[in-house]
Amino acid sequence: MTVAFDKIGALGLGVVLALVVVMPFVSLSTTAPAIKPTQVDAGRQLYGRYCASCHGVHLEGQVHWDRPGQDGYFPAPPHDASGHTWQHSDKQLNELIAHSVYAYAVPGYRSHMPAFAGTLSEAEIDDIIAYIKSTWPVSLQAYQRVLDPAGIDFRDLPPGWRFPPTCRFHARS
Amino acid sequence: MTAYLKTVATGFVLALFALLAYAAYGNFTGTANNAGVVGGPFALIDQNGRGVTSRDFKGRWLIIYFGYTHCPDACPTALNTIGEAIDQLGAKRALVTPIFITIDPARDTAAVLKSYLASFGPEFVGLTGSDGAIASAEQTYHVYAAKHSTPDGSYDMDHSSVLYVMDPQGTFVSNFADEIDPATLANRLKSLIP
Repeated sequence: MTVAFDKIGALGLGVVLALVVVMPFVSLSTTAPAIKPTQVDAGRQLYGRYCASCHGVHLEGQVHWDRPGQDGYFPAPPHDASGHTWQHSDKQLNELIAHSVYAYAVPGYRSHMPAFAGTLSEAEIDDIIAYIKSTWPVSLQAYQRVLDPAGIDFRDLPPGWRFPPTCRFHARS
Repeated sequence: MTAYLKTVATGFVLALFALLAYAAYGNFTGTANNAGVVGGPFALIDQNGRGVTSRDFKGRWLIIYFGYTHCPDACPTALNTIGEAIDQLGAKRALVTPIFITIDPARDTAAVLKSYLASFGPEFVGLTGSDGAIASAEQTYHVYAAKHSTPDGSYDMDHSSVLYVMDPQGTFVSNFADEIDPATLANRLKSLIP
């Protein structure tokens, strides 16, 4: 009886050990992790150094960003809620920063956006994206996750969150 | 003592396998951990005027979309996309029910929904209900919906425009933006439905 009890106890101890050691990694590996504060801080610094001169200190973009300037080039778009950065997946945003806009831009779209692939590491690009996302309202963060083909994770969003009103016909007419 | 440590190790390894299997499943579906975060029970009225609840759809793969029949743009486009995607599902078509839940129950009665949905495909279910029942469904699916007056004295709705996929147990599986094209949606559905 004592032997059997010990066995169950030992087995249980093994299970608990496995849970303690592995569980943090399991929950993180299933889907895109929530934005980490350390990433946001690093991303804010990098944004200030590499992005703010064109996209604005407050992510407001350049004026009349939705039409070409006199040189035929489109000004830098905003990254706040007034733009459409939140309508692109992390994968697309990564590509836009690493290799400029041409993988997604419509024909004839000309941009001064540099390709940062040689300048910024992949981790640094991720940090910048994390910072930009952290400035959005929860509704836009939720919507942007819908676009991620790698998987969606809504678990860390605060209770009562809603998707944004992406259908606003009257606003366009 | 050695035997004790061996048993501890056995427990450790067993739990490890279970956790890895769970993680692999989560990666495969991409969303296993969102269960309960999106969607939930509802009690509404279908396009034939019958009371239905979420339990009546158990066993079916659901594509749920919230919108309203006066919607001039996003809703008909999304419903069109869903209808065309279903046309491309082949044998799996029989497992899928597309559901349109109105965010404008004042104008979208069962009869209005029935005639509106007929043009998008034979499988479409339309759901309406009391303001409270619709508000509750909007809440569980995290749908934003608000009236916006128009100059002609009528109103439009500002609303979220997102496609939800629920599995036969009624568990949330995936979301898609309404810009998704029918072929991509069909392929994603085919890979989600075993």
